[in-house]
Formats: sequence, structure tokens, C-alpha cells
Amino acid sequence: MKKKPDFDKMEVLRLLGNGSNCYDCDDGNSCDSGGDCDSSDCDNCDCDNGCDD
Amino acid sequence: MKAPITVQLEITEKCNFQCPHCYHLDNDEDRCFLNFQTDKKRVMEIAKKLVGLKIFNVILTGGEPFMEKELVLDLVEYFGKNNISVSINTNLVLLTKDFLQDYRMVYVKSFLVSCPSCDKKLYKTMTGNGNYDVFEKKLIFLKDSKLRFSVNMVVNRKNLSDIRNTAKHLLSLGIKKFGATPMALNLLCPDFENFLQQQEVIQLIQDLVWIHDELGMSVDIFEAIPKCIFPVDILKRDFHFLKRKCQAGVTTMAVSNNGDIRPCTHNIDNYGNILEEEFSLSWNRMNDWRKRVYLPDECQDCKALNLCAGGCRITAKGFSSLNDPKAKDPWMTEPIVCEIKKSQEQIVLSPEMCVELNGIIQHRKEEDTYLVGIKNKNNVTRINEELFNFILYLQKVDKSSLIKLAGDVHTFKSLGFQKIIKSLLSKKILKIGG
Repeated sequence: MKKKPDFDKMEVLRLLGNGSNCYDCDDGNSCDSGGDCDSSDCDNCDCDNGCDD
Repeated sequence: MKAPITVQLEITEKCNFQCPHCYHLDNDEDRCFLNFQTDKKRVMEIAKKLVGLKIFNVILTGGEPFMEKELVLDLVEYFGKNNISVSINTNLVLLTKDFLQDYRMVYVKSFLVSCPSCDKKLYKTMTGNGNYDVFEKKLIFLKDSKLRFSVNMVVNRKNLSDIRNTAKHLLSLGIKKFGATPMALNLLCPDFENFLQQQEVIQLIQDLVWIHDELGMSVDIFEAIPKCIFPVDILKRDFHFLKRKCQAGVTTMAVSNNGDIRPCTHNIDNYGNILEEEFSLSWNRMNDWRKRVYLPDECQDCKALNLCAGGCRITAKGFSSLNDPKAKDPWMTEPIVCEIKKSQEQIVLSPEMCVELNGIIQHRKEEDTYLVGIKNKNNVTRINEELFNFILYLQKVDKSSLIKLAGDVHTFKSLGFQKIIKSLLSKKILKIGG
């Protein structure tokens, strides 16, 4: 990086944006998604988006 | 989001089987697969469009993809070289050793293998005329190839009582990943007679838990079934099937081999054609799905709404006398009123801890944010530009200690640094290195 990283400015955002419900922890893991997957989800999500809002 | 994350590409309508339980829209007794022609050039043009959209994952499905083996290999190579994860849904019977040994297989992430039963008679009945012995031989080929795969059993009333036996037999063959998925309702030829009732779905769930606990197998359900049907004690556990929900038209879509776009493979509504118009026009027509307008009213107060999204809207529509996609999923019970949050694993960071990217980075710019994921990990995450630049930096430096990344102890201890690193570890963008 050219400049010193500013960690306070870094953000993990909601995957799907701005609905009143948090669908953030969506992992694209839908029907028949083939094989196993290593997706993260709300269990270990650290997005602080308030999944029950 | 300007495009989906995952696409199911139906590369052919042809199938070597005629499974009555298949959700495929052409699944009826009168179909004659020999009449279907796959325009390979057109499918490759569709693939080019998908690469241009910078999707992250593609699932090659059908019909039976192996009816077009060369096309599968061409697609696998093309998507793989363009940094897209590739999975294949197959009944496996047409698989050959040559195929598995092809140099292009290095690009395949995993297979989802369909097996309705290990009982020879039942297998034959449920596949139209399939030979279980041939299937098992091909399954052994696949297992020996060391490629990743899961075996999925679509379950209806015909094979409901055979779940545990099927899992036990698969385990004896060395298979470790097993799915049992209740048959979805095919809108064009619904099989109400063999469709599972609520109590039967609960039996399926309990069988899966038994298979996990007693046989030690990894278990899953490859459809989005409503969370309210799960017994509470199971709902509080950490099963992968509890994480699946309908993402049709939200992060996923289906594309048929002529380019027609639908929110998912079960949905018969055509939203456009990827070869015949600007993609954004078709994608914007799917806004109804992204706005969740088909969520049943009964779900609005449910504590599991965000984990569930109302089960399968297409099965619900098939059951509705009014053909209403907002109808209750037939497996829905009552809204969940208790909290089902599970305890989070706390990650403790130390200054000497080394971290590195968890694989090959995939990314796409979205207006003023970025989607990033790790190839073959299904972990696409949205981040801002500052964090994106940091990830590009990590890509260059390979492995680094946290203190080196932070620059000094004060920054290491800061809330901002701790939060970002923990978040990237939690999302599996980063992993702890040696």
C-alpha cells in the first residue's frame, strides 16, 4: 500500500445493502449449490449489523 | 448488486434418466430426450457473458451435464481460467475415468451427485430405468479421484424409509458427505401423491441428525426448507442445512442453454435472455425477488426470517389454489418466537500470529464498494475501497505477522484493526498461517 493503512476506515458491509432486515450474512449458498462449502454465516459473522433488526 | 454471485447453468435438456421426482421443468412422461439438441456454440456464448458479468460461482447442471462431456470440459476450463469456481450436478452414470483424468478437471471445485437409493430396485424405479451397480462403480471412480463431492438423495414417499440404509451403505464405500433433500414440487407436473408431509420432513431431518451423530457423516439438505419445521433442539445446533435459504434472484439465478434467465431452476417464469438483451434489463426485472415481495405475511414477525426467507416460494406457489408465490410453504408451521442465536467462537489475536489470504481472490466492483471472495470457498463479502486496497496489499505480501501488518502495538490493539482482522478471519478471507 502506498500509504499507511487506516484500519478505522476499513469496513465489511452488508452483502445485499440496505433493507430493514439484515441479509448480510448471506453466503450465496442457495439450493443445489453443489458439493460442500466453507461458507461463513451468521453464527460466526462479525459484521455487527444487528441481524435481528 | 449488478449481477448474481452464483449462476446455475443448465447446459443441456438431455438426460439419461427420467426421474419422476426431478424438478426439471421438462420432466414429464412424454418427454423424449433424443429430440433435444444442445447448441454448444450458444452455450459457450452464454459462458462468455457470465464471465463478463464477473460472477463468482457457476454450477453446471441440466438435464444431465455428462450427456455433453466435451462441452462440460470446455466450460470447466473456460470458467476456471477466468477465476470462477465450477461445480457440477450429476447422476454420475455417464462418468468415465478418462473424464476424471482430463487435465481440465483441475478447475472443478466439487460435484453434487444424485443417488435416490442404494437399493437396486428402488434406484431403478426412481431413475426411470437406472442400474445401481453402474452408478456405484462410477461413484468409486469419483471417490478414488480425490475430487470433492457430496451425494444427495432426493426424498419422496417412495424412498423416505431408505435414508439411513442409503447413508450406511455409502459410508461403507468410504463416502463421508451425504445429503437428503425433500422433493420439491415441479410446477409443470406436480407429484402431490409422493410429496412429503410435514411429519415426514421432520422424520427426514431426524434421520440426517442420526446419520451425523451415529455414523459421523457430514450431512446437508440441498434446498431451502422453512426453519420453523425444524425441532428447536436441532435448530440450535450447527448444521449446514440450517444455513440454506432461498437466494433466487438475489444472489443466484438460472440460465438455460438458450440463454433464458430465471430466478432459479424451479421457477418457470422467464425474465429475459442473456444473449438477446442488455443483462441489466433482465436482472432489474428480478427486483421483485430482491425486494422479497413474495415473503408470506406470516413470516414477517418470525425470529428466523433472516435465516430462512420463507422456504421455497415455487413449491408454495404450486400448492396454492390461487397459484400465489406469496402463499405459505406447505412445510411452514408457526413463526419462531424464541431466539435461536448460537454462541460465537471468539477469535483471540496475538501480535506474532501470521495471517495470509485463504486462497485465490475473486472480486468485482459494485458502484462504490467491492465484492470479494476466495475461489471455491463460497464466502463472497462486500467491503469498502479502503479494505479492498488492504486485501490487494495482502495479495502481494503473501504471509505476514499481525504486528507487521498493524505497524505498531498501539494499532494492533486498536478496535479498528482487531475488528477488521477478526472479520476477515471469520469470513474466511484470511486464514491463520504457520
